[in-house]
Amino acid sequence: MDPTTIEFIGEKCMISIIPNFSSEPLHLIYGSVGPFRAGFPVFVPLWLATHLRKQQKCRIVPPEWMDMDILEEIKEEEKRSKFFTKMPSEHYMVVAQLVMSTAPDDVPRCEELRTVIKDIFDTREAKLRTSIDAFIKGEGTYAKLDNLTLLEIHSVRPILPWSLDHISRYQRVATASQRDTSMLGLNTTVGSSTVPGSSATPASLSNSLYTQ
Amino acid sequence: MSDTETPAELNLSTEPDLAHAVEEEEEEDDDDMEQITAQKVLEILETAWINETNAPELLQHQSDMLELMISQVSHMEEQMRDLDKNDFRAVVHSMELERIRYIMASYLRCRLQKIETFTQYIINQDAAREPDDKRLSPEEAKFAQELSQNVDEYFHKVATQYMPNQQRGEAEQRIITPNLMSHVFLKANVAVPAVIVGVDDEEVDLAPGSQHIIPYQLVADLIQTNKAQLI
Amino acid sequence: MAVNYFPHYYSIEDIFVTHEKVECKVNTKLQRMGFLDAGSETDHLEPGRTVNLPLWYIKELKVSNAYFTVCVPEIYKNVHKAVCEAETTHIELGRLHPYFYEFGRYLTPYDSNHVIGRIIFETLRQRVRYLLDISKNDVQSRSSKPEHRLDNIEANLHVAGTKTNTQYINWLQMCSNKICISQLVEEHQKKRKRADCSDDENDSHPASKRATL
Repeated sequence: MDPTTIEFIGEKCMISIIPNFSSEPLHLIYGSVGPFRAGFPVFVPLWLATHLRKQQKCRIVPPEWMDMDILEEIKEEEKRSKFFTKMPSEHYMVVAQLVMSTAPDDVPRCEELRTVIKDIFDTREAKLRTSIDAFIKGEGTYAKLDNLTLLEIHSVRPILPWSLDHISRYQRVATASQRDTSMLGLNTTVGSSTVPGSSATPASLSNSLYTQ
Repeated sequence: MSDTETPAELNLSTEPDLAHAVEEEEEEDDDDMEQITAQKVLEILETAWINETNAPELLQHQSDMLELMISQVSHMEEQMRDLDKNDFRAVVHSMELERIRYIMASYLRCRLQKIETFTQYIINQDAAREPDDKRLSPEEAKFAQELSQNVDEYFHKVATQYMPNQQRGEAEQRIITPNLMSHVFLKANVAVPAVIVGVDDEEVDLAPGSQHIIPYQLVADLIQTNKAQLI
Repeated sequence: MAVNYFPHYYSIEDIFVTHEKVECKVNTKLQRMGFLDAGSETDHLEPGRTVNLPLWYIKELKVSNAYFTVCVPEIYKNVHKAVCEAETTHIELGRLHPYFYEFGRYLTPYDSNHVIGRIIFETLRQRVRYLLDISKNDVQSRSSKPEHRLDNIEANLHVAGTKTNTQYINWLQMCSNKICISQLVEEHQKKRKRADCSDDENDSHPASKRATL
């Protein structure tokens, strides 16, 4: 999942716009939006908001959290907390990025906000790296990642899951070889006890290693 | 303006239409299938798409949902034909249809890639499954069979027929299997008690909305039953 | 769909790994097998001699086979100390062995002291942070590939990591919303261009000629 796919998913978020035209409701498959009345705010999906904005058909109302005080608060909280704090939007980076690049004029103090949001992201990313380090040193292959957003997860994907795949593969081999000392030379299926569903052939050693 | 009346026509209130479509196609089907809205179908497909792109193995096919959505999309296109191409509503509707088409195409493409990579493994696994639990759709099953035959035939023609028997390698040995212990990112949809998360049988209760990184195989059943989804 | 390395029958990397030679001690006299040992003076392979055999042959034998004992390569013994002291990040793994981990994985069952399995596992575990860090700092276009420092598995992870980083930076700069020509189409266009150029070789256009090179 690259950032463009994450953006695509994040574009489903609803955002408020103030249209400069009037129209009956639109019955989209995703759900109905509208009616549109010139000058009155209405919630639409982000992809529609950016489209209409590019057509000069609306103004985007920045979400409440796109505010210096709130974001500064979040930033401090993020620095204080050992854990990942809950973000005001599941796709805060995508929303910020799209709104601020399509409609910088609709966002007061746009550049400052951009910097704070980037700071928050960087703080969280650094925290993620530190916790990964601790987690891998702790011999785990499972970890809880509450409140991380997709784009933050992306920053360690695929390198983190792939590294863990290899680590646990080698761990299985290492423990299997220790376990099998008493049966040296027997056709034991190395490590396949942890991999049910792998080809359960009466495998030779080489065969079973393929399943690792 | 010529299209002043179209809003009413464009009232693509998706629910009745879709229910109608379902009735036509699966008359004998039970009631709860008819209740499903286009919006719900889209949600199911989106989840299936994201799950599929993140899962190391092939997941259950979604032919029914795809069929419903495809007929919904063409129904929409049908209705839009009368609209001016530059009409604001026409543009928005076609943008949405493009988004939906992208999801469906990306989903099917991802499945094809898995089928092409793990052909024999998937065929073998499906052979052992009950008809209702098959992961491959009938079309995909046909594709997989043909691909497998063509590859075998090709290898035979260019190489193995010139080799002595014992050097051809066991068919079993040549099967490419996915790494089911691949680590995946998971989000719990509901509370799931006592999920085994490690080789030493360590257990964890998953809270609704909680997120985890975990070997796929330990949570494969949760994804199958929609208690959790991959992210 | 990018997939992590996972060895299988057709995997070229796996074929490379199993092509590596392993030092083995001969245990019994092997009739007319002397050709395996370049220094042999007889037609037979005598007990006590050492020969280098490819891994693909060795791995088909039982660990306790009567003919050969696998000698554990020195490289794994050499990193043992570093692993114990958790000082593995400075090791130039790629220089030690291009397939340090996978080669070690194959040899694990043959190591009666059970160190190799532990060593490859610990080494990778200790080096993941380092891999994350260098992937974060290297940008794809910059050709600072630390080849000699990384083994094959690590190099793949590094490539994946730098790709992630590049994608993210491009996205932030909104460079990624242009639809790119697919590689296949691009190749095809190049080919057609080349064909066109060779067609009209006579009216030598310097620019197009350079393109054909």
